[in-house]
Amino acid sequence: MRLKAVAGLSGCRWFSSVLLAGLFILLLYRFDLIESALSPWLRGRSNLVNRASLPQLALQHIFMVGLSSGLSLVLGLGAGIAVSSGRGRQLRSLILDLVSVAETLPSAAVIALAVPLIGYGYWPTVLALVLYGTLPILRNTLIGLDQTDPALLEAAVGMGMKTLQVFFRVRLPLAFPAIISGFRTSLIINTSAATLGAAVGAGGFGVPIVSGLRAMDTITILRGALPVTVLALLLDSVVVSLQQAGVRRLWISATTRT
Amino acid sequence: MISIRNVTKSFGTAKAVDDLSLEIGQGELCVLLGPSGCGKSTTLRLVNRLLEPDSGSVLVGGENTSFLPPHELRRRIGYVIQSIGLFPHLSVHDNIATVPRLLGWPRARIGERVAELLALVGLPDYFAKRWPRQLSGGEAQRVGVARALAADPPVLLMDEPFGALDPLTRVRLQVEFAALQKRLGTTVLFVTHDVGEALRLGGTMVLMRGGQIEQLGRPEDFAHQPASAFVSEFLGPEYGLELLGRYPVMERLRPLSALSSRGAVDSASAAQSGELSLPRIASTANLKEALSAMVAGGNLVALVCDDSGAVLGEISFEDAACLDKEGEQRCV
Repeated sequence: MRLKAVAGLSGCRWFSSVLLAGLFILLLYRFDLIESALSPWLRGRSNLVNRASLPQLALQHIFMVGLSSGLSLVLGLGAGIAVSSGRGRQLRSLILDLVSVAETLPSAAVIALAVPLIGYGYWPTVLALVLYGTLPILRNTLIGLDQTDPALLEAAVGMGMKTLQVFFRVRLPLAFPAIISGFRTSLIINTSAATLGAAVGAGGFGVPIVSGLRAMDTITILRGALPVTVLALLLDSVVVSLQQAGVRRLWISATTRT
Repeated sequence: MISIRNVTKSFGTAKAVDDLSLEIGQGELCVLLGPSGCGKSTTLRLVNRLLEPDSGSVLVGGENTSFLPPHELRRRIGYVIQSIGLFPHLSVHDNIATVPRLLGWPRARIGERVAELLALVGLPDYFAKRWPRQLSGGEAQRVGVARALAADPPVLLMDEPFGALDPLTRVRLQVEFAALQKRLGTTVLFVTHDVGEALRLGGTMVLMRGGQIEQLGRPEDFAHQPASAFVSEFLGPEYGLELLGRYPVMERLRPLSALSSRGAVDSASAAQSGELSLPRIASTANLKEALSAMVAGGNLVALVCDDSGAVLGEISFEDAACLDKEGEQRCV
């Protein structure tokens, strides 16, 4: 009976998101449990380091990731759409190549390069994350929009859709899965790369990681590293659940029932 | 309904359609037939302006298409392609509703129309909620036809719509579509390279070659007076036999003669005793099938039976091998 209930629960779309959210909150408010469990094996006395409260760091981190990923989505989608349609098409393969090259740059290097340009702190990190996070979304938007079956385009045009109708009713909704998978990549990259912002004074979960590294204090490192990992998984799981819950279907019903 | 006047269309230096003129009357089913690259698909696409002619003009319903905005023209013309092109992200209902939505029909009217169309193409109404990936090839093409007919267009363009189906489904859809077309009175321009398909659909046959019309007329004309060696070659040596497939046996039915009634009455017991047993064919069969049954049964007479097996009459080899009414005199 109990097994059945668990099975039913895990079949639920939001099950893993809820589980990860619980784990995340546990890490924020009761890290001492993990600390005491691990202290016999791990070096370090975390009270050596000035403790900023974890929930506060979490807020900084989430805000940083949320802002940069949101901007990345707007930028990547916008640029992708612009390049896929009309005159931008000539630039398509050039931009795809540039994106591939740019993605090989380590995110640490991107943040380090942003510092001399716009200085230390919160905003350089956000900017670097936006630039970096845009790349997978842009690439997947371009590929997704380009993959439309030519027969579908012929059918759409042949039935009397205008260019914009073909785009918003056929090409874009069919590219949705690709775009969302690009957004997931971007979100995970941004969540982990945002920790590097601590090195330039942006706050977030990078703070305990950096100070833990300086003090050779494993437990302090884990105070930043564990919540970041869980946060990345949590955000990804939320996006997947949203996708399954039919963001695309909502879009379709919004655009076709005019 | 459709007038193609002196239309030429080139791709590079190659002329795909070369000074072609064709008139298709209201309610007519016109089959464009020909080998690959003869310009039949190009001709079709010139009608709904997926391609623009280099010279000449196309009229639909008396209006010169080049004066109409392309999307408005296309919403008045149903279009069915071989790959069907059902939108995978839309349900069957939403696929069929495509053109009515473009035309801004109210929701209730669209719902009614979709139900009506599903019935028309022989699909149960719960198919409206299905997704294209859940359909078999035949079902998908029925939905494709329903979608093309959604806004009740006066003209329907079909580009090898049944080409990708298995032979059995293809023949069934061809026969059903021919009946549907007669019932609705839609003007249809149908492209195919399959002679059998052209014959099953009936209507006017237009054989194309090199962007020009090689011969145009009733299927029987092609047999009696082929315009060139190319025509006979394209239609194949069995074309005469294929033609017989167009005629139902019921048109040639005769009452049982004294001789064959013996075989009819006794056929069950005759099979055992080794006496005279005539081949039997269904009343829905065509002349080609009747001949085939005679060959298989080793007799020059076949019995025509209804669904329950009751004998309705007989058909002789001479009756079955006649092409048409004028041909009948030649036969006798």
